Amino acid sequence: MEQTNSHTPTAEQMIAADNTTLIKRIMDSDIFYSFIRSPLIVIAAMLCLTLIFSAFFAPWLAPYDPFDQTTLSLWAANLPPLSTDEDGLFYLLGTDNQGRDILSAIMYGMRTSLIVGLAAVAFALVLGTSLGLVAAFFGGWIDSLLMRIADIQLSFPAILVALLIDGVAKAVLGTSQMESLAIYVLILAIGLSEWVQFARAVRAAALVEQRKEYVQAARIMGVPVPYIMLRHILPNVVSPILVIATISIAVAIITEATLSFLGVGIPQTEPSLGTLIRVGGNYLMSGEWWITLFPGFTLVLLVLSFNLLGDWLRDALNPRLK
Amino acid sequence: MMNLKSIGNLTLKSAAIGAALLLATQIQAANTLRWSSAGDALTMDPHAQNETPTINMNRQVYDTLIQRDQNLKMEPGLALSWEPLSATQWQFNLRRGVTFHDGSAFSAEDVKFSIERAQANTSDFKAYVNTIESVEIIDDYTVLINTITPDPILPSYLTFVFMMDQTWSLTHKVSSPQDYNSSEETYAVRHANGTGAYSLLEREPDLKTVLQKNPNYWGPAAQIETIIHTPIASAPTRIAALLSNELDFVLDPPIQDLKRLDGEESIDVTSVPQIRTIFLGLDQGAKRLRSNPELGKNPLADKRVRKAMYMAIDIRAIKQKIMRGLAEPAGIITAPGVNGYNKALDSRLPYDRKQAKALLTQAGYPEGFKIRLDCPNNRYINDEAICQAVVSMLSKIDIKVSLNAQPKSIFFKTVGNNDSDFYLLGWGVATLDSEYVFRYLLNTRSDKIGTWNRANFSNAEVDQLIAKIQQEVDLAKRDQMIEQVWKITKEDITYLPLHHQVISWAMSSKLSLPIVASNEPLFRLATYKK
Repeated sequence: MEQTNSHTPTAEQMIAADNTTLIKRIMDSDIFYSFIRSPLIVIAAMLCLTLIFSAFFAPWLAPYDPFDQTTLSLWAANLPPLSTDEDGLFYLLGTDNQGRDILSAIMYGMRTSLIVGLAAVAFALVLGTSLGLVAAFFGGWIDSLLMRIADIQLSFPAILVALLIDGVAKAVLGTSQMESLAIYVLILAIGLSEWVQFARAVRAAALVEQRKEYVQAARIMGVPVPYIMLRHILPNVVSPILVIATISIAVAIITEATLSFLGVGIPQTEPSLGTLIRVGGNYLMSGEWWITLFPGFTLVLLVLSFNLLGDWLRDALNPRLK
Repeated sequence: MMNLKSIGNLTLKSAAIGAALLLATQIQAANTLRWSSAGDALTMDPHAQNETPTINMNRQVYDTLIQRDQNLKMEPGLALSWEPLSATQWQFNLRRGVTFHDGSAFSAEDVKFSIERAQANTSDFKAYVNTIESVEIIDDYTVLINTITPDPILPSYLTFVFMMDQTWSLTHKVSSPQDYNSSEETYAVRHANGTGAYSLLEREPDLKTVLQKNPNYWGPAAQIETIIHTPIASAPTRIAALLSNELDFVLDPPIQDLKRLDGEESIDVTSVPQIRTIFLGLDQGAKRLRSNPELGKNPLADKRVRKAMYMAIDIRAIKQKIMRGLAEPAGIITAPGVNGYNKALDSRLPYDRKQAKALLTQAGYPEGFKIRLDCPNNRYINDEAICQAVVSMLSKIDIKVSLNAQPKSIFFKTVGNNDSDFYLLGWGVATLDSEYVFRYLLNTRSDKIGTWNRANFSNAEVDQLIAKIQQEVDLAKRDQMIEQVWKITKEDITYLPLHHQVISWAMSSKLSLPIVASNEPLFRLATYKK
């Protein structure tokens, strides 16, 4: 008994073995090879991770809490970058007109921007993918209806759709309620303005897949339709979804920033990058450039790194480019 | 296919057009004043909105019986002289030979018509003429105004009552003012027929207003032919337009930009203390706080709490950092230049956070309390920034303030509907007399008087004094009573005064336009330097 036991691998060993093979599989994969071979993408990925990390851990990493009123000192207002106030506190990127540390405000603001961007894309992804699968699988009038809606929506710029939804929400909810719900409305608005991309890509890929033999075999065997869609077709259309999602995050962050810059997005009490840029814009002419420049620069870095990653992913997952 | 030659032609042509345009604008610029401010006049009906930007635009086109010069001294307008015949009767002798822009003559009938129009229900100037009982026409150029009670400051109220042409108003069916609050459109909203130095040539609300010099103006002729107003809401855009010479004058440059503008050779900045004081209102009459009913009582009713809040405000930091030096810390809620103001009254309690905290503990709030501060964000200079600073300063004595900053249209409704415990307000003094502050802010509130007393302050002695001040004709006695009211309310800490606002105008250095403390440019006095 003991002998046989020593020969059969324990559960832990199996997981460990599985892990090594998984890591090995990743290391050996084409994608990883293409990743490690392009230094620009490595930098973009590192930058992206650093920004996300510093945003989500802002409460622990930021030098000051820009929303804690009791620590704000008006005497420290409008300090340029690299200055120290009379209490000996140091401000790397300077302070705004209330004495808030710009660096901390950016970290907290980036958190809001990322939450909105990621949540909006997640929403658009789920909605777009399900509608795309349904359209491809059922065809007929359902397909026509969904795709005509998509066509109509595509003829409007995404920002216009988001503005429209935001405006309607404001009228329905009223200004005071809108303040507390602004972030959810924004997620909904941006999500609804971007689902079309997912739906069209998934529909196209699914149409190709469902003519393949394995799907037809599953159908003949009587496998239920939802099961075929989720277990057989979905895994095979994941790569276009991934590519669109990465690029959409960048678009969603920009859309949010634009809406906030126009003053219809995130309220000032919980500023996002766009809000910070808008508020700082008032000081553009007066020589206090750091109030708007640094949030703007952060936005550029964030969006650029997501875009680079998205572009690279598109190429890496495209078999024709190998 | 477009070849190189045709491209070259095109460039040449466009260059020629460009040069022609440039020349045209230069010729035009010599006689044109292009100016901008954040907002537009709300209407051209001269009796529909008592709001400074609206009054200002109307004042270029319409005249009043008595007007104020650039130093805010009263001078004859459409009335050459006026005198009280008794305590309740005034005689006005009108200027002869004045014509409206459409050519019809100005006479006593128009005065009677205009004052009665200003008394109409939809008029926003009712409070200015509510002591007038009747207007009697003696002859074409003499009118008698009878008042219900003695009104020694009637002349200064009349500097806000614009004179319209009766015939024109009847022809265009505008004999009663536009009902602004229900967004009524009448002929008078976009057209005007006054006696002023300028006539209204073009009016597109919120886009463009063009005024043209009136060649038949009764006063000294204006120098500038055309005045173009383009409202630009975004401050950096407005300043960029001034810097690039697309504008000649900006009424409300943001104070953070003044240093830069002052450094520009082509731009002049002038500043003057405005007749407006910014203060915080505390509802001391309510049973409990609307924004914190759980507290069960109203801490603001306790003078020690009000004093603690007063002493927790570091006014020097607000002046230095938010107002960039362009504000004068205030001890009472009226500004220098107003009758009844004196330097001795205008002193502040010291900024002392420790004592403030001690007072709060004494009053029974060692842990502070929660409250909401209502604040406009587009009305006064850096209003929202001031409120943010107040929130942070009060948090240091453990009063947890949540800020509710809103555009003025919503904010004024909140405070006007008595829905605020704690708010920031600014008060200008149209009549340059303390009584104007008393009647709106200090008298016990009723439908007719004390309408902006949202501090719900009520003191029988003060009410009696105000009633006496309104009818006292002996100016020395009157001034004494005014001082008494200021002393009582200052001692009581009825309001928390912050500062007297300083206004700045930025204009092309070629332009000369005297700055006026009422923040109302008089374009008829503008000239271009040679």
